[in-house]
Amino acid sequence: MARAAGRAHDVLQDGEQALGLLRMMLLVRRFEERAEEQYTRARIGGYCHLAIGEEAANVGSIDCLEADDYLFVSYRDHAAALAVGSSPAAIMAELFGKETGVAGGYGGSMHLLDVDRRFLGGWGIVGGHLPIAVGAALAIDYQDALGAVLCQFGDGATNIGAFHEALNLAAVWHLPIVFQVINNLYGMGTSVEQASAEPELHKRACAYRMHGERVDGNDVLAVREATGRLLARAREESEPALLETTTYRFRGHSVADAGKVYRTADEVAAWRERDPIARYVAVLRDRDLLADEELDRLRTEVADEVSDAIREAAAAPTPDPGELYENVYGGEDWREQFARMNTAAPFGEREETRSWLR
Amino acid sequence: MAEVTYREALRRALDEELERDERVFLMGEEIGRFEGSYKVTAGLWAKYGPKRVRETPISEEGFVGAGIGAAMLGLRPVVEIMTINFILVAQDMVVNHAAKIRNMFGGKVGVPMVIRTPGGAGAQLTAQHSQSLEVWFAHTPGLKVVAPSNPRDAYGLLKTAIRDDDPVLFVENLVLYNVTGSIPEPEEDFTLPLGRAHVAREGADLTIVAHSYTVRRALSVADRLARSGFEAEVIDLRSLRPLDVDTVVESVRKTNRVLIAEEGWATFGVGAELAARVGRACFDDLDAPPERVGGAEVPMPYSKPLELAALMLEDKLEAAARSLLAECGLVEAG
Amino acid sequence: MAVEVPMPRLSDTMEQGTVARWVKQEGDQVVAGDVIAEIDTDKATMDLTAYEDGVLLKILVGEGESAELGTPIALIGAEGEEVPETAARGNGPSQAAPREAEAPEERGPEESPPEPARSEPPIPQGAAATAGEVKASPIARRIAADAGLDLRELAGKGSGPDGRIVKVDVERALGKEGEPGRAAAEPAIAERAASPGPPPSGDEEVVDATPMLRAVARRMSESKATVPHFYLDAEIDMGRALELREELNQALADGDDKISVNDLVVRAAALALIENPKFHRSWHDGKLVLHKSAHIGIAVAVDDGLIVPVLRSVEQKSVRELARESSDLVERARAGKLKQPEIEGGTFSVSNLGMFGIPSFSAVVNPPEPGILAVGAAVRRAVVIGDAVQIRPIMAVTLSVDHRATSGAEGARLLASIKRLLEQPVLLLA
Repeated sequence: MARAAGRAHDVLQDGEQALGLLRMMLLVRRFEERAEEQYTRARIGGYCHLAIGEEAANVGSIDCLEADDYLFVSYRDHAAALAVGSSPAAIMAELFGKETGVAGGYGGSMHLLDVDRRFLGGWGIVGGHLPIAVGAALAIDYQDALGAVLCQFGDGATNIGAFHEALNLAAVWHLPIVFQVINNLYGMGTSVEQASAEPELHKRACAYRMHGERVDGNDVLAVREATGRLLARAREESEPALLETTTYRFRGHSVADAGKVYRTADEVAAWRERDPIARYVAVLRDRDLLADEELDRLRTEVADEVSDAIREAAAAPTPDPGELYENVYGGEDWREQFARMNTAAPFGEREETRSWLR
Repeated sequence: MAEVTYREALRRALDEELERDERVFLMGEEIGRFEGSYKVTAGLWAKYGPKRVRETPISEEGFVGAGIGAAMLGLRPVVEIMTINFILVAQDMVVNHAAKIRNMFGGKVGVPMVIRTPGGAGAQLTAQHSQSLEVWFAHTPGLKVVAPSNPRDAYGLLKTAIRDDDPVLFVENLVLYNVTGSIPEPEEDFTLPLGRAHVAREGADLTIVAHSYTVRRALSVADRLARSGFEAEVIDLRSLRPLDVDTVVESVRKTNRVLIAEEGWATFGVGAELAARVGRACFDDLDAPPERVGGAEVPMPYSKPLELAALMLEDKLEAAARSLLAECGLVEAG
Repeated sequence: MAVEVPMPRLSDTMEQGTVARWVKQEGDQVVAGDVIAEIDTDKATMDLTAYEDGVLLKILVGEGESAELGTPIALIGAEGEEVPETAARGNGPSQAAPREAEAPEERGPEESPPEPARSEPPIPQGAAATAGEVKASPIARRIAADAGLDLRELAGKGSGPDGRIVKVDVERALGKEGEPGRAAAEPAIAERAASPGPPPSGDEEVVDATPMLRAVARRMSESKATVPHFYLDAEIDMGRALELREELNQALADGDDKISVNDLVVRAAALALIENPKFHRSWHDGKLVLHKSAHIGIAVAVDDGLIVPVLRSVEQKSVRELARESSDLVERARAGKLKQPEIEGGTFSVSNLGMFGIPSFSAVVNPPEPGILAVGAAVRRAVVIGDAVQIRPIMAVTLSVDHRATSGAEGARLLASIKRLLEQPVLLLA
């Protein structure tokens, strides 16, 4: 689903766009479920963080991005990659560690990106990408360009130093960036109340005289409206904002976490009743924008799309270990720069040649 | 040729690169109106304005990260960290982000950024303000680290660093800022390649390897040794990553004796790295094992006599050199 | 706490040893690895290496004196350390008596057979062979090896720490005094042995002798200086021996074995030695080592050098076996592939220059062997047999004898045996 400039904020006015939003949420849901399954089959290694239950908070805001905007998200990034329009096969291939993956197999689940679509990752250090997102906003400002930056992160990132420094810089320099806290109430196994002196996270913005706002993250239309408005403000007035979207993840922090030790079954059940997809389906039905057959067709379509992606990713080749050093440096003369560092092994590991025998 | 201080050489390089490429811009604390805490950026804010010479709050993690983000979008930030001691609060940005971005994203995006910062000690600035931490970064794949020892090299290397497409840590030195030397005229567009050491002094009796301010100490010690009849070859590494091992090896094959000197702590330092590489490449060429000497492995104390005892001064370097020569049967007659 | 240096076990059959020479004297600095003395064993003279650092505080067993294995012969300790008055002397039959006049006064580091650097089984090229004993820096070793300089000559006398040999020492030993542009001040170094010699004139060239030649030179000098030689000549009618050889070789023509004249001579010598036990013994400082088996060294000329591999227990081997073994030894000698045990332990030697057409010559005894047989070419000559003159192949041999081990009469008897065996060669097959 490509982003287009000048999209109507009220997506319900356009039946096709409305359904497109639903389809993306369904695609994310299906992709994440299958990713979980593929992880248990050991086709995905390392970390794998799923956005099941958070589709509205993720997709709703990304849907507002325009062609000149940039997106930075945390390691729970599969939804972002799908939402900007990257091919599910390429995303799955990255999870599988294949050469055709969006990062060539070098990043994995946490480091997805799509430079052409201005999706700049996929970041593994909690809060680490916030200053970098500010830098992108700085570059936009520097070049007097039109865009804005959407920076998504979790509630856990609001207590680390980089959060404070990034928000302060964005505010003091008046940069076009929207900081979106996807508050799913838990940072790993720690609740927001436990970790934060001010658990109403949007209120933190006042420390920087920045606009702060909270919406129901499971209401995709509310998320979309707020983000769209704040991004426009950022673009036009070059002013940052902090948007808190409250949601809930149905799974644990990652595939390695059952999410049961620190949450009650009742709580999870209660949130399932507020499943963002179900809620949006209800809204669409209410407006006669969605027939049952259409819903089934969409579900089948995304299921097939994900199955195809898995098949394609599974068949793709793995990266060549012979190219291990190719992406460490990028300047065109890096090989020459390093030529005198080691005659045999390029970067200081065990010398293969017995150059000392003469 | 112009005769300028190291500081002025840096300033000229920045000025010329700002002029040459509008993607280049500066960030750092006090670099604007205040003209830089060490006056390296004097006059640049007045000339280029606040957009291109951007002052920052005390927020190293924040503004180093911002530099990274701007670089990912194609700008060429030159970020100043007031002294290398403060880079530690931005360590995550430098090591976990700047160094990793190109590789972890499969080569699809890079970070053409320079971080300039002075290291070194000697003015009773005590423990937290007297470190030489460049090896922490030379250890890290994805970064490049340079440490010029004189105005000409500073000028040429900074221009190259700014034009380089990878993150470069440009290590200056507080004492070096006042050292003078000649630099080429701007029309020559003089640059120096990374990864090439310089033989600052030729000699046949032993090789002394150093970088940054220590090169000057080494040259001074070489003069002392010459009065005893021993000719030291002094190698100015200039670049720590990439490291010009070949130049050092060629020298040791000639002199058979090598001493690596650094201002920082020798343990896990530049000397440790070169001793290992030279030990292997020159196994049959050595007259004695490689020797290394560095600062005392203590947090730098305040009181002057304590500081003097801890610094890697000429006397300490000379003693190490003479000890190495003595191990090889070369002792001053009489 | 002073450490005792015991009489070491330097050969498998050694039970006691004699201190031939103290290389280090009382008061000398000693570093682990230094050679501190030379010990005469039952087989040869061997180096005694120190395993401790320190000062040689006291010598307990002097030059010429013997001690049993394990007996303390010296003390090494810290400088100025007090030494107990009665240092244990053990129960070795020490001999305070002065050595025989013929006993060697000055011996270099010696090995048993006359071959080059002892520790290097294949014929070595460089002094790097003795790496384990001599402390030297890698570059010093390399320069020495490239130049054929034996580091043992400088051992312990280098300018490096604790006498380590370093580059300047090797350069000085090779006569490379500094490089152009070097500053004037001459670094102080340990003294080195001066090697006087006339400077080469225009029509001469000076090259360094290889370690092998150096070893041969040393052994020959020692032998001539210390072994009282006397010589016995004989002429042997080789007619029947040559016929037997011919017959043997024809019978063996299908195979690879080929009997040479020397094989017959070696077998004859072995049988003769067993028949003459009063000849077949070695002198060892007042003691006689009686050899029960004849291990015969055959002198082999190699490229600019000489080496003597040893055929063992020849009296037990058939002529055919001898031929095979000697052929193999000679081949490997020429290829530089002999093993250490193969050049040790001879009880007699045979040197044959017959293939060069030399009618007769005399050879130098290889101590501690009692004798060496020099064999010339078998020349067809007119001889008187009975009352007639016949043309017979006559081979001249000269037996050189160590007069300490045996007498002229014994030597004569040995020669007579050899002659008899070769002139009735069927006895060689017995």
